[in-house]
Amino acid sequence: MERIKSLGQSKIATIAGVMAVILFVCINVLSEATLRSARLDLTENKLFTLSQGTRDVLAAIDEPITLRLYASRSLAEGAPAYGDFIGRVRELLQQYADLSNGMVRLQVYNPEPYSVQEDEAVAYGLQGVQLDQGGETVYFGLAATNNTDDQQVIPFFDTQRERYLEYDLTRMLFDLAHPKKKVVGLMTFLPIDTDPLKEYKPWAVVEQLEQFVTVRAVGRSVKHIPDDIDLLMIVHPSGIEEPTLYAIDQFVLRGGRAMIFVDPHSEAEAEMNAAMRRPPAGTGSDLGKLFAAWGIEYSPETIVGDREAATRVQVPGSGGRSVVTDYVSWIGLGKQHFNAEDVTTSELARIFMTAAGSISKKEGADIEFTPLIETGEHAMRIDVSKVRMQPDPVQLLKDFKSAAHPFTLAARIQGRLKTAFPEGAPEEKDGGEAQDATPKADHLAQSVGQANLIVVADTDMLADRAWLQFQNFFGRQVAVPTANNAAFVINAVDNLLGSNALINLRSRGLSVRPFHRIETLKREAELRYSRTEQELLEKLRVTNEEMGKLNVQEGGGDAVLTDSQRETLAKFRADLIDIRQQLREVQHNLRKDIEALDTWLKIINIWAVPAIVCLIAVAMAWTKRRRHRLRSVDG
Amino acid sequence: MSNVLTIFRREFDAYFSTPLAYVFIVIFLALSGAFTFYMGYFFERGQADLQAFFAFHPWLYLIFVPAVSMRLWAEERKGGTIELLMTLPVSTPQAVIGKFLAAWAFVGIALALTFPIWITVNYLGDPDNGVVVAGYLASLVMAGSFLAIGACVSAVTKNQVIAFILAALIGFLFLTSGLEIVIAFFRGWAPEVVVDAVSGMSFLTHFTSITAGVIDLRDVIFFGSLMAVCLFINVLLVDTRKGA
Repeated sequence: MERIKSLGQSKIATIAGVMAVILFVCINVLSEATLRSARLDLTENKLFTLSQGTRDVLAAIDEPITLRLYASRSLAEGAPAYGDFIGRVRELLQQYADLSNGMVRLQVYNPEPYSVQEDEAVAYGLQGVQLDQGGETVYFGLAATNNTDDQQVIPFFDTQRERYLEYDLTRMLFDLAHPKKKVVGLMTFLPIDTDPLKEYKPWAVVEQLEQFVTVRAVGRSVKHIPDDIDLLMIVHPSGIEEPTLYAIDQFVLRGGRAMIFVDPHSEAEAEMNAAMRRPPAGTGSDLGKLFAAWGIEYSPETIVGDREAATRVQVPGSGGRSVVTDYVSWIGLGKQHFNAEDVTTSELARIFMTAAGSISKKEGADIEFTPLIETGEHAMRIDVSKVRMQPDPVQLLKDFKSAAHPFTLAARIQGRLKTAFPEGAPEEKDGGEAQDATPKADHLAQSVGQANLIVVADTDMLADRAWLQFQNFFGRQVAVPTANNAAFVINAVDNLLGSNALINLRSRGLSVRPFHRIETLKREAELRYSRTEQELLEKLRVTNEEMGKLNVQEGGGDAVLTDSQRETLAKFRADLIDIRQQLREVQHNLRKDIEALDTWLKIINIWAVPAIVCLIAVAMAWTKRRRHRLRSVDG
Repeated sequence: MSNVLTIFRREFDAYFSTPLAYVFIVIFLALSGAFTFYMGYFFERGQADLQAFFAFHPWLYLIFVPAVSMRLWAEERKGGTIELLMTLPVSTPQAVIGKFLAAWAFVGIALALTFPIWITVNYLGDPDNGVVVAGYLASLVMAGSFLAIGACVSAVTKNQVIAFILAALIGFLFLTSGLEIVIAFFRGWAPEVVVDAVSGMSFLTHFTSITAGVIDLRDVIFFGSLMAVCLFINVLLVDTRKGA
């Protein structure tokens, strides 16, 4: 034997073994500390790689920014889930610092109780959270500052917002690099902003907007949009003259952002008309020429009705009684109607629109059309005349015929838009003044970079009553939001005011991947059975009502039912049982296909391959025995 | 190299010549499927991903891999065939690696036979297949790590049961080292560096991070270095213990 086992040999082996373990620990501790960015991202959407948008924003930062991360160790220790989150946030911030060419510096602090760091954290506006009753206050927030004493703060990192982490951080850095308050030019044909005579209050949505941007009125007949306007908000445009249309066209083409609200029927305008005894026609708005050139299809002659999103209303019916019905023109939209991947809509819960139109991409237009808000599948186009004057919700519901596809109510449009004025600036009417006119030489035939617009086909969503409810709170009028209309507008404006890189930043993280096949099965089953279900539910309701009436007629204790009444009651009870039975069957049928699929999949995944393996095993054992028997026969 | 292949083939064929291997595979597949559907609520979740499937692998391997590794060296030592092995013109490292690879391949086959779930999830929806690939890689590598530990332990004792229990115990420690209960134990008396080091040794942490869809170099280094160190110690153990 070559190898002689000796005491020395064994000792050497032990030492070698121990050293190997130490080496293992050292390698890993080292790699954990230093190798931060070497990774292979196998996800489809590259969820773990910083997006190009962030890299662009970081590359463009030209003055130093300091990021101060305050993360209490006790938080990481006390709540392990947060510990992981803190690690991820820290790594992300480190990546930002690494990619910024030294412009972004990261400092990490552990603000212990009563320490200087804690005071600093509080001074920056970070939110402290008590771990538990009487426990210490922990912090997990970020304070970012630039050279000119602007600061942006994330008071406490919310795990619910993790998928927007990259967006929030990039946004923060962008704002610090461009600290000037943005200017929104408001061109409105409805009285939504402050009236110079202070006759009416501005709409609440404008007040909210003014909290983070400067809102400046833009006249309806300007010939040039001022250069310091960062975003143009146009509300309910109608009767715009050519020179102003041209101004808007050129503004968008030279890179100005725009948020445009059009509407086939503005109920606010209709009310004003009624109040001033004007004819009810002409409540629509359009940017016809511009939309056509830019590739957007929209008709001010039709509104959109959605049966499932319809609002329950009470209208005077025949015979003086009021009728409760669903008004398909007043639609309350929920999560399923919003684009879950766009940062302007993904966090919204509810939006309320009335008499909204629909927009779509023109066939063959070379633009990127991203629907932000859509109706449900059971929607249809309705002629606007049906809602303009004394609409009949009951009739509209009766006449409802689903188009079986959703309509887009709001969309983001991007791309290189073409001018609506290929011949150049329009001639002045009446040889008017040309003071504000842009010289012909500056005419743009196509947008300079990527144009960015958001178009919404409803103006009533901006009205206070669409999303606010005024309640009396101890003598004060308090406005309580009932929908996220204003939040959507603010998100949209905020988003459009960012750079292109920022706008293109998709909210990443948990992208939803449902079981499409099962959803299809559910939908098909619903289509098949929902009508039956509705009828049965209706029958149930009626029967219950009738029974209720009979019971009421019984009166107080002593009344005796007549035979016929008792018979009727018994029949009703029998009916109830029968209807309930049928309903159960229907609901069972709805799930039958899905449950069958579930069972099949379980069988296949749990038993199929094992069964095959068993068969193979048996087959092999059998052939081996045969071979063995044959061999023993031979041998 | 060809020596390694010889050992590999010998061991690998040996697996399939006994009914034990088939029993192992059947039970592993049935359990992983059952866990996925009944404990992971795969169907009810409605998510087209295999998180409910991969989540149970660490715990399945904890029991099954020691069962595979326990016989790697303990059997040879008990049966005295280890001397026979050493008379072959094969060096110890080659033998160790050959056996390890054979065992790893065996577990790999068991893992590969779970393919129906991959087909199922693609049939039901549109999963991120890159993430699924990452999950399978993570699972395979983690199995390899459990195996390396188990093979090492199996070379320490002649008794297969002890080898199983010890391997499962060490595996359990590695698995749970990132969990709060273990960290809390260390935090009381150990310095910061040690606590961090211990929590960084967790199989679960590294496994979870790969199954999210990202193969971080640190995770590769962790599993790779673990397997390398265990195999190295395995060689040392076989060298010093044979002939006893």
